[in-house]
Amino acid sequence: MTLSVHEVRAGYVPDADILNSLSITVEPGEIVTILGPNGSGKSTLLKTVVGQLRPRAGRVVADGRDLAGIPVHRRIRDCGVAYVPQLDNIFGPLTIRENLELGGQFVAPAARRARLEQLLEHYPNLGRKAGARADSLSGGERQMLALARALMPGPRHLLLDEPSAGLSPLMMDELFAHIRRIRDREGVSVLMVEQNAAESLEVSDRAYVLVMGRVHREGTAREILEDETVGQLYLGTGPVH
Amino acid sequence: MLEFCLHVLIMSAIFGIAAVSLNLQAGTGGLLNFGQIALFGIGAYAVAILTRAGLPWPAALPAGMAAAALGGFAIGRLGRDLAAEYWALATLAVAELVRLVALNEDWLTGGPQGIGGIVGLFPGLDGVARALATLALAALLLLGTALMARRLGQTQFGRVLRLMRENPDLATALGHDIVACKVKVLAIGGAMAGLAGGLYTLYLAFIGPDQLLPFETFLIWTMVVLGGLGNVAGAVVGAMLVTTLYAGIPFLKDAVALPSDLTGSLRVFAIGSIVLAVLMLKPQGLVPERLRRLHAQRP
Repeated sequence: MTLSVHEVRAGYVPDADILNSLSITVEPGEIVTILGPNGSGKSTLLKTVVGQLRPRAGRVVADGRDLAGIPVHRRIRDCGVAYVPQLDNIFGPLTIRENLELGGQFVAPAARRARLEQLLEHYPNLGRKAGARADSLSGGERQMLALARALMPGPRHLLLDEPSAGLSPLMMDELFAHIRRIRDREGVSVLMVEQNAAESLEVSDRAYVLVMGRVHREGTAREILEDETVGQLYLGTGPVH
Repeated sequence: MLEFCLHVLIMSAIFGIAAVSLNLQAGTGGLLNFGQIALFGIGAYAVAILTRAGLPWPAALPAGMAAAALGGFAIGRLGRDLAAEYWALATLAVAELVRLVALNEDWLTGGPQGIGGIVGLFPGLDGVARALATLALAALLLLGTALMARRLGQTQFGRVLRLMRENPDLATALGHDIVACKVKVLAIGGAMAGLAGGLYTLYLAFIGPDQLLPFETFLIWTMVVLGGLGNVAGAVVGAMLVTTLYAGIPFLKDAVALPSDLTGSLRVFAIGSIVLAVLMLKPQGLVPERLRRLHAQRP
């Protein structure tokens, strides 16, 4: 149930690696946050794990299975990986219920219905508006919907690309608390790329700080939070809290 | 006059099938296929070659559809890793390649002269009776194609096509194989376009490379955009409107005493102006897609 990246090199153009022999591990049930300045390779890492970008070297392994050569859709369907992109992550013209159904299209119909009702109970705000169009939701509610939809097939690994982007501080806190509740309830491991360092570290177990496509610092969330150098140099926060 | 009206209706039905095909690819699936005329042409030439070889048209027509479906499959596979905009340009290039093959491979395609003298539809009939029988066949095939496209749009496959159109990355993130969907819709659309091309050849008893110019693709696009991208009925309405205008405008030269050489330019100008007007006043087309109804599918 471990998700790991071993010595991965990847990039968008030939001879220009964004990820330089990068290795990370997410243990079962862990929340791991990837931090770093712009251009450090955070989103590239997620794209490599989900399969949108093919690594030039190295391996991505989920639950002991090497994901090399497995396309994105098969990683989602068969390898227990769920991915929530940063933007445009819901289908606006569809209702909330329909958005959730889309997340469970590869689940047997009876199980899908049961799961949908379960998630609508876990997300009472969404449950109350299940018949409303998704584009009528607020930014925070949209993120909740995207998260709930990703959970429909019961993934083992949840990949989140800047889930707090564009949210108000209040909504951000609520979202991160919610991510922790998801982990506790579903037992899913979470690999999250974030810009809001302090807030995301509050709910994380461990974190990696990337610089120029390499792991510059890794440790428990507490260690990273208390590392003043990391905060000042790379997170733009000064001392992190 | 009756024969002219029948001709316009037959051509409307034939191009209606081609427009329904493009609407399935572009309107439902969001694929910018600027090489639609290649699929039409593959079907047209396949039917011409096979009927010239002695195959009766009821056998040649499905064979033409199969050849065009194969062409659609190949176009889909060819550009599977290309971004949408580059794939669109590639389809334009493929259409030109098909036309150049038709223009230069005399032994197979008759070269610049094309293939003529084809035994057309209903050879036992003459005049209006033949035109009526052809119209009935073309209308029946248009109806069948439109119903099939409509049904496809309502299936799970149709829903995935719309997801692919709206947000391909998100569709993939939900576990959908969008390359497979793209190839499948191009093969189905190819078969439909091949049917239109085959009918065209059988009706006119001729096909030549001039019928495969890129302008023809844009004419079919005009039909779809004018009618309403994403709506099967819109594609049919658009095809009727454009075909009628295209065929009818030359009559204006008698009414307003225009020189004959301006007629061609005038009809292109008129169609362009109408497209511009529709895009400005009714950008969703004359018969817009009904998104909510098409999307909603309760468990």
